[in-house]
Amino acid sequence: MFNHHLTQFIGRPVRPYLPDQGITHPEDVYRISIDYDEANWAHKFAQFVDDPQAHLAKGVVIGAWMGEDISLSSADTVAQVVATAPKLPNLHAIFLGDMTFEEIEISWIIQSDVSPLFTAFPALTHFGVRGGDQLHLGRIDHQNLTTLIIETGGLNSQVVTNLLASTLPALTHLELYIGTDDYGRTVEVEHLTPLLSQSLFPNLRYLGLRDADNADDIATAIAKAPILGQLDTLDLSLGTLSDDGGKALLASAGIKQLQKLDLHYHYLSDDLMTQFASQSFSVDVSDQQKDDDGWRYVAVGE
Amino acid sequence: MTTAGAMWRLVNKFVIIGSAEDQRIERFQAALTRVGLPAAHFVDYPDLIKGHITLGDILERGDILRIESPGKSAETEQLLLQLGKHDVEPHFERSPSTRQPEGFIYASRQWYLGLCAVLDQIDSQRASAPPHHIMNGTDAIRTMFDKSATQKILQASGISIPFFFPPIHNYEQLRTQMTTLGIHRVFIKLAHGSSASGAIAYETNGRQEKATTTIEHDNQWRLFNSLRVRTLHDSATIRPLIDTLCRHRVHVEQWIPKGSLDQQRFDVRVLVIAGQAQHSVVRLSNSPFTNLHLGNNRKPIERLIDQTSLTQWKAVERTCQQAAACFPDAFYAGIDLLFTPNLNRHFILELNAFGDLLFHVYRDGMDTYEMQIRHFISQYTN
Repeated sequence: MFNHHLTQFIGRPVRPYLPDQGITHPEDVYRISIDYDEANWAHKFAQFVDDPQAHLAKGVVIGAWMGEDISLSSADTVAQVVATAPKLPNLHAIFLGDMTFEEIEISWIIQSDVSPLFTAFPALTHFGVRGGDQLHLGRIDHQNLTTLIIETGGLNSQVVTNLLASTLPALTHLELYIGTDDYGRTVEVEHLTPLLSQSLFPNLRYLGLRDADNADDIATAIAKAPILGQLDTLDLSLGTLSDDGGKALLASAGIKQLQKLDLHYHYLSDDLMTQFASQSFSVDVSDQQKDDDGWRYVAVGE
Repeated sequence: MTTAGAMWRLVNKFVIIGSAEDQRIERFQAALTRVGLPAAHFVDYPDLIKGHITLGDILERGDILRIESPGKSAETEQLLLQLGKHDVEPHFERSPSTRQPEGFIYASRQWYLGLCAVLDQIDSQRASAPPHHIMNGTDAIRTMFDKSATQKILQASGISIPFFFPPIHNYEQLRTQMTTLGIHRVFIKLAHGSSASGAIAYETNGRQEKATTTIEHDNQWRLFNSLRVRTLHDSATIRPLIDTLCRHRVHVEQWIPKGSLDQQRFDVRVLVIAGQAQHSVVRLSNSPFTNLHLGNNRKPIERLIDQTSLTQWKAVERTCQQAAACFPDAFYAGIDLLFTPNLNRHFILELNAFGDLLFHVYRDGMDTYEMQIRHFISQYTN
């Protein structure tokens, strides 16, 4: 999964920001990251912000901020981005933590309280974050956020509880990497119940509950959930979905009105795959996994 | 281009020391045919080692000697282990005297000392042979098969390489050094391994640890190379694995994160021939190991140049040429290097004395062997 950096963000190519070249393509998105032996992400970001074209930036990808000191959380990084918000008036998309497995294990990334970003950028439409350890979004009250992506090896239930108490009237795309309990997942189906049974986000059209080691439980719960009535796409990919969850989905009336059901990377049997393929709506059942002596693994486990 | 006839004025025949049935031999012979030259005289390592033939009987004035890889020949491997038996230092692994199952990692240091003994034998037989040429000299081969010695030479030359640790003999020592040096990710490689041999990519955040490797072990902690990448998270397995591997003599270096290209992490293999960077290929992987024999992807170098720049690529070629120049008797060297995630810096990872087996990579219409032949001979006909 995270064997490569983002190559696209908000429909634009992502380029590494190199101070000696500066911003040559202000219409594209830059990734600001430091190498393992560089010490100062703050300095590099300051150079980016002081570039004459920085004010045109619509999106920014924050890559590795910690160099060799992997105990460094995102706190200073977040603070600096917040402080420089006035210099980035066109910024409406942020990805915090675009690091590959070459740089750090996802579950070893130390995040922080990222909620100041929502206050500092009222025009924010897209927010993505990678790394669940110490991640805190709080209850978000934001009028313009359309896309929220949280990538973790194990999602904390408090993050979800706070999220579901948030006010996000514009939210159309919610994508959560649930992860495994080995790597910090404390989210259970009951934490998701408010989302599944109520219309918390009336404009939500894409829901991703991905990379879940309790994918069968989630699939079973969502199969009967009212939220299906408002979705175009349901994404349960990258997890340990097996025939138990698959059968519940096939038996679901609500599933049938989806435009797209994404189940790629799964542990469904050939038979279930065939049944899904013959549905009237679009289903992705590619990348079938075979269990390892009864063991099933999520795609991003750590 | 000079004609075959003109080439023969100053050079005689090629003599290859290698492993029978190794595709390297077939490919080199095929390249000779394409160039319009007769097949090389082939000497099998076992025949040389056992004394069935001596180079003095074979080498004629103007011959070109090519020392090839000992390859995967089990017989040669055993002979090299035999030769190294008495020289291997007491704190390193000794090879069992019986044949072991497929993939078994034989005592690497012992094997290397045996290789050095064969190279010594070749040198002494050459000394009394008529004047002849040699492609890769024995000094280059000896040194390139010692990763620690090679990296020291590159470092002394000012070439950017990963930081390497002082000699590491066990897990405890590794952990202590990692803490002292503030380094949290390392590659543990066999100091005398080829690019096909196993390594361990090890990392820790102080609380958790993870080892990624193609090395497997049995109940008696015999180590085997496999083609499968697996990860270990449990200190109870990681510690003895590292302890056991260290007994083969290891080269431990900082794991510098690789950049990504086309959805995967990547590094690059560059073949330098006669001081010029030539055939190059991008090696992509979803694991820390990019070795092509693990079924990893490859892409043409143009793809990387697209994403970076020709200026940058020229700088990489210069670095590779500089690295190869540290080994004056190396006619060619296969050089592995990485780009950093911002794609603006590169580091030399390894030099391979037999690093010219590159499938489907052509430069100026030639494969790696044909280019070596033409370039080598043109040294003597211009």
